[in-house]
Amino acid sequence: MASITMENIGKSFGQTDVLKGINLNVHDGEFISLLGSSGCGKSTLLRIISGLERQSSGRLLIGDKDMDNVFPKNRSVSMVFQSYALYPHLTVFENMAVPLVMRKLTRLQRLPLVGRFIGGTSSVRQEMRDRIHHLAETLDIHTLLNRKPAQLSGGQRQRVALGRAMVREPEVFLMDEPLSNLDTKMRAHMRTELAEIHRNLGATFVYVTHDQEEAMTMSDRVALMIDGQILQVATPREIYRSPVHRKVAEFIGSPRINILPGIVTNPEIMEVCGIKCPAPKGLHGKCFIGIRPSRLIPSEQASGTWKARVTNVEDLGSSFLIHSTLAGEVRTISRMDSRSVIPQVGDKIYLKPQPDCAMFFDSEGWNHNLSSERPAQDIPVSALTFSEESHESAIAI
Amino acid sequence: MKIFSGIFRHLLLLTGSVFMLIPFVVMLSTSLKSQADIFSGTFSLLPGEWGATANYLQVFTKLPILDFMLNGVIVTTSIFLIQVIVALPCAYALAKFHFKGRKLLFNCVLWCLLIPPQAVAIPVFMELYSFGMLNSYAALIVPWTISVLGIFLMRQFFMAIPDDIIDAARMDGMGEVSILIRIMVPMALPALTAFGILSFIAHWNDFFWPLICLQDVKYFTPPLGIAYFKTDDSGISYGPLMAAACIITIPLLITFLAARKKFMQGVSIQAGVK
Amino acid sequence: MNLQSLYKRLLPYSFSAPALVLMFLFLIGPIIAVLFLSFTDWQLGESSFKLVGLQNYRTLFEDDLFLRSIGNTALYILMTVPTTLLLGLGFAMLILKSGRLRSFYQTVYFIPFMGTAVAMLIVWDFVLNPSLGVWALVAQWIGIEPINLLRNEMTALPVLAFISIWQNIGFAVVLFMAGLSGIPQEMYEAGELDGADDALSRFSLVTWPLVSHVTFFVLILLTVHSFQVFESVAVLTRGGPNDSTEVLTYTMYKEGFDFFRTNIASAITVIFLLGIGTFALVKAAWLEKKVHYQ
Ligand SMILES: Nc1ncnc2c1ncn2[C@@H]1O[C@H](COP(=O)(O)OP(=O)(O)OP(=O)(O)O)[C@@H](O)[C@H]1O
Ligand SMILES: [Mg+2]
Repeated sequence: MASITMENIGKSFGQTDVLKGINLNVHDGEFISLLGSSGCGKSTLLRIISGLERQSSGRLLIGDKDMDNVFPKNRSVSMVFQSYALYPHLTVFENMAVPLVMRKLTRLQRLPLVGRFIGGTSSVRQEMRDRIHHLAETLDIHTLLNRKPAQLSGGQRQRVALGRAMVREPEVFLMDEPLSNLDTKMRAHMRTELAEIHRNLGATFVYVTHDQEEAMTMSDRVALMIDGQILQVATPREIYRSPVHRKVAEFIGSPRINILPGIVTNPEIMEVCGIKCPAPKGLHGKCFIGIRPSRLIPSEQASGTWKARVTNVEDLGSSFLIHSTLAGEVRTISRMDSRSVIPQVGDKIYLKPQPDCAMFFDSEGWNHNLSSERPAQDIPVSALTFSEESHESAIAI
Repeated sequence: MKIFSGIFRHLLLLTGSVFMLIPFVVMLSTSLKSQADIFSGTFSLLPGEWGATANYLQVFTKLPILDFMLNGVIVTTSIFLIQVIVALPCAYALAKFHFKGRKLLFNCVLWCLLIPPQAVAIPVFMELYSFGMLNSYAALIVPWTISVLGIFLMRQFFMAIPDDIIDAARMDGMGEVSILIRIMVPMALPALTAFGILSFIAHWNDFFWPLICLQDVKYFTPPLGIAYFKTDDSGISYGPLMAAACIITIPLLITFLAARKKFMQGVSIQAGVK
Repeated sequence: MNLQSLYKRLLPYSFSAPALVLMFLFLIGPIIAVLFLSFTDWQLGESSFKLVGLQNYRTLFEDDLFLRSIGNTALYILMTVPTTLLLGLGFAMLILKSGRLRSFYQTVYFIPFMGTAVAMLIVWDFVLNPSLGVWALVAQWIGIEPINLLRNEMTALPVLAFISIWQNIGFAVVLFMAGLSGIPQEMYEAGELDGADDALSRFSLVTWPLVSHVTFFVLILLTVHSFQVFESVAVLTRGGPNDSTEVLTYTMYKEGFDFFRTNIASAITVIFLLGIGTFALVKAAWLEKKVHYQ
């Protein structure tokens, strides 16, 4: 019905390539998040799907139909904007009516005064009124219908924007950071509400955000974009546990993953910050290992661990973050349970990675454990999509 | 000390006010006086002998003053409407589209802002002459249908409207013309009002151009009409002349007083001060 | 070519086309034409012309009337602009602190700007009438012979300047008030802490510097406006008496539309443009700067 297929979509503004060959399949009824840092091209991709912008190369299909020459108004797509983009001079009701008026009434019927007397206008208008009132009730904004956007709170505006997008019952919803202007509490609330709306509507959602928490909590799948390319598309669980690339691992997870530089000296032996440990087969030369903060915790043992000096301690309530410097230069973060013994700033500690939890990245940053699935070099990075659960690396250091 | 300076301030301001208002008072009072009273040798504020009826009656019978006013209204509204129809799409394109030549076009607009209306009078006169359009409403209207100031002001206002709103309107199914009419114009209404006021003041008062392009009294606008009345009557009957001045000035002043804030805002927007 | 991108590409052109065409017909084209005509000997109604180089300009600069006209225009600007500016600023400062009467004063001072200009000139003509008008009364009070101010070589131009000042003070007041009310109260308080507690030092330390950009722009606007003086000359003095109120636009009008010496009128226009150009350029640059700063 309304799956979205992007085939090698590229977009350049003048000299700069903003999108570099995007391949992505969004299934019908799926909630997919486009996650990436500022300026990586998320909005641009969304605008291409909406039809506001046209791709420079590649193909876009919505529900198996090529979208070339299909104008935004003829796509079954609506969009919620970061700034909500409500019409300031229209009331909430009128704002929500615009998409219907523009589609259900002919040009003649839309005319002020005269339009009323053209056959069918009043019945169509009545139908529209009913639909808007009904929708307003489900969104809990029915008491606000006569207000102007300036008289609404941020959360209320957000709902009106949602209502305007929902009122024409599109098959695809595009949302560009719709929650980023709300306060933390409201954001958490709207998150569950959005997820609920998605379940009820069964429409396809493409959700742009740079907040990984939003992406991880709401989506069926997350597409991680960096620099105009999609590095990985996977379920939240998978993208956290088996990132294909160092950059993905660094982006997902808070606080950030610890990356330690290493070098494979002899086959299957590597040296990481002064400690020798076994290396997985096939890894050679310079490499990096990644350890999540919750898996890199202080221990009593002096052997087989890294010596570090605590530089800062953050109390988050339920846990503590220990910032320390390792081998004099590499900064690391450890997350500790608040019930354990917490070191002080300046203390010397020994850091020990938990078993089963290191990820190995080769000199180019690719996850070594997934390298068998990695395509040949000349295929664009974004062609990589991993859907199968891959095995965790199981090595003891 | 404070009270003293307050009194002094108001004294100064009141003196200035009297000076500002004297011509209006003289205009009104003279228009009410009889010919004999005006020529009695000493000027007085209140009419010694009333001649209001005669004066105003004479204006309406001897001078097609209502036609002049109507011409003024026809000309200024047509000019404004066409200016808007021409300037709005151009301002919208300049503000919200990226296209080759946009910079050039905008520079053209800026350069055209430099051109004083008297400078183009000769060639425009020749153009209208060769189209056979002199001495008509068209001659009064057509040369002013392009307002670079209008394009400039509206572009400036449109720039401030967020792109998202325009994109939202596109998603909602509006075409570009609908967006312009249904979204941009209502949002830029204050700027449009200000521009309307500026355009109206400029063209209602214009004397230079009508003087050049008109011969036929039938097309005269108020300024030309009253100047014609003055020379026509060789300045002897001041009563009717002042009555005519009242008739064409007072409606304007009432409009101004009713929308005082808007007028002043309009004038300062032009100067870029507000 | 994709339909949608074609549409998007052509749209801005079709939107700006009418404006562009009209701009060429009534602004850019005519300016080029005037420039060209000023180098020819063409006069309205003739069927042929030839290029004469700088001949027209030479004629003009040997013509006493034209030189007089330039001088009068300059004199007129000098008489009107500084006076209007200073009175405008002064009254604006007085009005700003005048409490409840503020909007009353502002309106009263602005009214002359709103009266139909030509009608008001005719009223002034009557007011200045030496036997019937207010002027006769005033002259009687101060005990001088009421001369005909508009028929006197010495007074005609100053009187026109006087009327222009009367007309434009309100305009300057409104602009200055917009500028003055933009000065935050804290600036005055800060100035007071720095020792500026009397009116004069407040003015020189805070008001004048903070309103200087408005001053500058009002100066430019008034100059451009005074350069274009035409109505008062055409209605009240017709350049007389004895050419004492002959100004550039009026000379141009006479040459172009009375004597139909199009070539000479064009040359006058070019000189007029050169004169007004610098000020207009500053005005346009100012407006453009506004765009960049918004
Ligand atoms: N119309 C345009 N012309 C030129 N460059 C553009 C245009 N639109 C976007 N870009 C550039 O394309 C890049 C991607 O922009 P985009 O808006 O898609 O980023 P984003 O991922 O949505 O970022 P953010 O999270 O900040 O919204 C940016 O570097 C931006 O400067
Ligand atoms: Mg974005």
